[in-house]
Amino acid sequence: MPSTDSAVPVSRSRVERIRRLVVAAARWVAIGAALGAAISLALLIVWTPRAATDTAFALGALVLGFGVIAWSTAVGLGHTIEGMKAHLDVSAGWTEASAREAFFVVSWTGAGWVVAAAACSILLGV
Amino acid sequence: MVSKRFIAKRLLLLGPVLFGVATVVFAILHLSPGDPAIAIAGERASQEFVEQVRSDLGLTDPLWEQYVRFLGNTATLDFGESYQIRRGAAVGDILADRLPITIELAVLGQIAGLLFGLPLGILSAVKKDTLTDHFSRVGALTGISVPIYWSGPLLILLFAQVLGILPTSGRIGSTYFIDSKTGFILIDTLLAGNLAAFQSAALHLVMPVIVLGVYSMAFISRMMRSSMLEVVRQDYMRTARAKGQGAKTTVMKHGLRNAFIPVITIIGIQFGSMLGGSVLTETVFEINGIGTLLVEAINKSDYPVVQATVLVFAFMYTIVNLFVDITYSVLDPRIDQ
Repeated sequence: MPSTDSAVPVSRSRVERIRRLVVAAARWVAIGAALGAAISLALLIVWTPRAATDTAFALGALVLGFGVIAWSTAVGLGHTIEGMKAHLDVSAGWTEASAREAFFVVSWTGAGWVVAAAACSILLGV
Repeated sequence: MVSKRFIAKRLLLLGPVLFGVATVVFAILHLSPGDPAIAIAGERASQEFVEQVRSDLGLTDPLWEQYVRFLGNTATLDFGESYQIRRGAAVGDILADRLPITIELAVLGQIAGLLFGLPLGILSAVKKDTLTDHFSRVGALTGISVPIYWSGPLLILLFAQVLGILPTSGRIGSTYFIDSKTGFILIDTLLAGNLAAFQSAALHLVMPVIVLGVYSMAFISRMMRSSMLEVVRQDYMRTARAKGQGAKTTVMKHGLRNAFIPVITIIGIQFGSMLGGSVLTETVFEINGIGTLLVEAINKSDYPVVQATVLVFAFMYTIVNLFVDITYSVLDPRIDQ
């Protein structure tokens, strides 16, 4: 049964890959949440609870939005950009995979940030 | 042929891109100074009235609530109502009125750029280092270097003020009243069977299209030239000539298709620039397209209009790039592999 034998490792590696992605995403969400909470609380020193949590949320949304746009661009156009850099002979080590990884981190950090800022807003009764 | 998987992947990416753009626009609008409630109520309005307006607009809710509501409405293509531009009117209706104007301008500008840029680039490559090539390169460099806000008024001065052969601004002469069926003035005048109005609309479009087209032409011709120069050096071109094929046939049959692939990228990027450039072009020539709408909405803190306009820009840019990718795969099936 060669087909079944080869299908098992493929399926296992896919599950393993998804598991690693989920763990990595959770780690960056946690870091983002810590950042969001810290910034919300730090801004409380100078602003009202409403202004502090709103500003922290907007900053987090900026990080999240930028990360998602850049990640999508890396996924959609990464190979084209790689090819063009190679064609123009200006490659400086930039790869589609590294860009995708970097913006994955930015996106999930932003997601954690906005969630924490929203949670702070609720906890402070804004 | 282009695989369904390839197109599906590109269409799926449309979601994250639009989500990202919506999020960034929302964040920037709320981080920037300016209060829509004061803009609506007026500088001299009482604090109570301003608070009432703010409450009516839902701006008293925490920002995360506003964001969730905004995303939910956007997902159902409900962009809300305009605060200021056309108070109370659905933003979707305002966009539907203005969008065809900008698309018409961008498409005509792109066509003009292609019509002149492609032959110029090919001619420049085929006649490399001749007077034709030098003229073409200087022309392209000038086209890239001259900003729209300078070339626009200069053209108005020359063709409208000095020579008096073209109208200064607007979309059609003030004596014509055409029912807007499609929003595209050239098509609407033709549908109305009014040739005089069509002529007037066409004359009004000449200068804006030149301004947008020159910029596009310059980029396309430069890219076409360098791409063509690379292709004519390839072995298969030499082989075709060695087998007795004429120079013109070799260039048109074997060279053009391969040289066209990098140019396609430029066309896609250029279309995005056309949309961005339309903000300036429409302002200079007083055309009420989506570009002037965006400027007006930013000045008046009309959040729903700004958000919807930027999303439409992003959507159009992404769709054009999807078509560019599909064209790539058609021209060079290896890309699809």
